[in-house]
Amino acid sequence: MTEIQSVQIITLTIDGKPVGASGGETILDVAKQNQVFIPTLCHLEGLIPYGACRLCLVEIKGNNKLVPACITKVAEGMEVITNNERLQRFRRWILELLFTERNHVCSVCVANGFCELQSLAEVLGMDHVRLPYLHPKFVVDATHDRFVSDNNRCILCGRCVRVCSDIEGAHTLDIMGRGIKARIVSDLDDDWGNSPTCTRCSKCVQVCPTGAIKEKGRRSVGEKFKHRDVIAHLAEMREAAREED
Amino acid sequence: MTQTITIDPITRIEGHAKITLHLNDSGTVERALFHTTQFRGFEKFCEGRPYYEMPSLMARSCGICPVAHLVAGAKACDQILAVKIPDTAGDLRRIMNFAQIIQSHALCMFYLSAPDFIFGFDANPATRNIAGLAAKNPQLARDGIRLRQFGQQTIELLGGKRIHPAWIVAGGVSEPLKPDHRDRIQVQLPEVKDIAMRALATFKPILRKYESEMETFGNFPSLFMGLVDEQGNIQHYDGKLRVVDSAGNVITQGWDPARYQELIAEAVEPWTFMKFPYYKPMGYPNGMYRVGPLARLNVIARCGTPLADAELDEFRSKYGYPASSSYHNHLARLIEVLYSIERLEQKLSDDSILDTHVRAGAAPNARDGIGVAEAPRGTIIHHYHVDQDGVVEWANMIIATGHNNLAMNRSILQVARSYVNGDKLTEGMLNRVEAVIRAYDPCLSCSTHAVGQMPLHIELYDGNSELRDTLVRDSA
Amino acid sequence: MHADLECVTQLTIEHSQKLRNYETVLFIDASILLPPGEWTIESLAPHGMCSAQASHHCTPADVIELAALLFDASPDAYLLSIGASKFDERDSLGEPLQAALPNIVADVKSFDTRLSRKN
Ligand code: SF4
Ligand code: FES
Repeated sequence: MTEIQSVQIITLTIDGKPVGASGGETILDVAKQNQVFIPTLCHLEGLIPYGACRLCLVEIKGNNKLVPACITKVAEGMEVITNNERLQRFRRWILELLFTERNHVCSVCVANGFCELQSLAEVLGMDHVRLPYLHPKFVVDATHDRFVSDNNRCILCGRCVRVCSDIEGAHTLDIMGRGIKARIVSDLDDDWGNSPTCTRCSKCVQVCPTGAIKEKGRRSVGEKFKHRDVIAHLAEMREAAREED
Repeated sequence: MTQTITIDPITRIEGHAKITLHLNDSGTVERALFHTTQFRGFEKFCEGRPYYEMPSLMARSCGICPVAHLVAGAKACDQILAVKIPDTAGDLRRIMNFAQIIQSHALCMFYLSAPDFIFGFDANPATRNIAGLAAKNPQLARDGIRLRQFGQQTIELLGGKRIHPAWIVAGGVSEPLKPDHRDRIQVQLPEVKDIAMRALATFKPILRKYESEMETFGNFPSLFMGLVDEQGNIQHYDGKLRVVDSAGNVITQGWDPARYQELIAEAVEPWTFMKFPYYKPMGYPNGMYRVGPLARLNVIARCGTPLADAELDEFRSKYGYPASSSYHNHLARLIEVLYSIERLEQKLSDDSILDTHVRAGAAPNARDGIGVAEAPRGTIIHHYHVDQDGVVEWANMIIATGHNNLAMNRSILQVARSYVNGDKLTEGMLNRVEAVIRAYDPCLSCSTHAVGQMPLHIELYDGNSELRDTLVRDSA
Repeated sequence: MHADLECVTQLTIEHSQKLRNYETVLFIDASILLPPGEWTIESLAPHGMCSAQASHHCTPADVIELAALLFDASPDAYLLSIGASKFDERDSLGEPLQAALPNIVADVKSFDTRLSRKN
């Protein structure tokens, strides 16, 4: 028996331009299809959207709350505004707050030149930090023989947690604590090196937008190159395999 | 009634360094104190960081000689990894260190000190600067610019960046030398060698003009320390520590830098943030020693390259062995520039320098790493203690200007005694104090950046701490 | 007309050497002397004086002076000074400057036309 899926077609406008979408898609998906740039940080193609960073905030006519584009589904007749001065200001503020919280001193960071936080600051013109730096001190976990976790450089985007549980299926990494004390831990806050669940797949290294998770070995300051597309590729292949079954 | 005279640099370096002269009742200078009033805490913020960040992190302590800090830091990391790095990697680090020495010495000699020598210490500061030099002796000024440019370009060709290259890393260097970059450095060598020779020919007679000043110019007996190789030749990259006394006797020989703590201890004084390292066997403050270009020439047997050795012979026959006036640092710098160029010639003409195996990899295998190198201003020591996973538990750094701290204080006292009379402050004294500090080319903005004139602020207090007199000299 | 753009935080002695390669040089700098939002373009010529007190702290006039003294280079040199009021590291452009910016840009854009007209 063949099942006929009915695809709902939706029309909306993005920045005044009428666009078509299918139901279930997010604003971010549709914007991408139409070559509209919305900055994102916690979002990564291939991972389940999470809505943690709020960098993708957009305006919707008639709604005085801003909504995150990465997890907000499109609706018929929606009028989305992705870019104006207010949004730019808010996005810069979000970045600025990230920079004030933990130690993001690019010049001595392994991810210098390969960091999404750094490049977004550049793209969005966040060139000053006006608030005092907080820099809580976190212990660097270098106990694992292949990876280092440095919460001092973490922005709590949750990518590593999601890739570890949703793609790898290990769920070694998670977030513990709240607010400024929140940090990435492995298993039940044990040394990563002792983890019985970690499969040493290194997916967390590839997805981490900053220098917070790093591979050991011949990688020093400014040398943490990453293959981020690999996750989207994996997710796609897995989807394809599932469809074949 | 005792009085205190304070010399305070006031422009962009406020809070960095000031000098106080303490007069006794008869108006003679009793004590001269060189204060570093800024605390930077590099050692503190290294704690908890992974070892591989150390070279880059520590190099930030200095914008003028970061390469030497990279070298010392990376050598300490090599020890933490417990690896022997590829020979080519060592040579590449050496090349960058030579380039650093050339550019730093050129800055000190041509930009900062030459105006004093060409125009005299008491000449009008409006002409006693690089522009005055350019008008009077354009060739000399051009030579200075060219040498510095060569040094900086070489650093950039190797590391991709002029100021803080992250190329020197734990285990070696991050990229091999590209053949065309080698060629681009090599073609310039004959020209810069000519410049170095010309500079020596020009400066030697000029420096001699001030021989009488040398008597009071950081001229006192002290120990000297520096790195030498197995034959006793000069070393800037590795080698063993040697200490020579004021009579030229070698009192410590072949000392493994990893055992520096048995050789050197550090005293602290309440009036400054800079520590006072001293030669342990002789105690504090008798164990005063000097490091840097002059000290290096005083500890070595030979340079090991023909032109520099000829200059060394001449230097020793003129000024004796060991030469004791810090004033001779200037000539020593020029000899080192020539030596560095000769060594670059040797290293670059050997094709093994293009070898692409330039990095050794390993996990942390040792808990302590001690890296030593000769920076333009003298020996620097980096010591990192890490946990079993390579996270730094504590770090200790002894930098060149620190080693020279006791000697610098002594030099300022000597100059002040000869130029301060009663409670009168003279421009001449100011100029000499400034010049004697510059002879050490210390790593402080006040002396390394101001051309021809250090901004100074002198305050004269009487015994009741009341301000009696002020003398301000701005930089512009 | 071909132009190279170089942004520097400090003018150094070494910059004098670069001027050898150019016929015309326009320095653009913020000024505390002009009221915010106002700007002037003046021409610079070697004047026998150099106030450079530091290797990394030269004025445009110093660079011109050194270029002439050392490298026999005397390009037509101009200084565009733009009045500003806020100089702190964390400051963004003030309102008067923000408003004047399009006009300043237009003025700079017409700069080379005016130059060629002059010749
Ligand atoms: S470690 Fe990296 S990937 Fe994980 S939450 Fe922090 S910044 Fe995101
Ligand atoms: S990308 Fe949408 S909230 Fe982070």
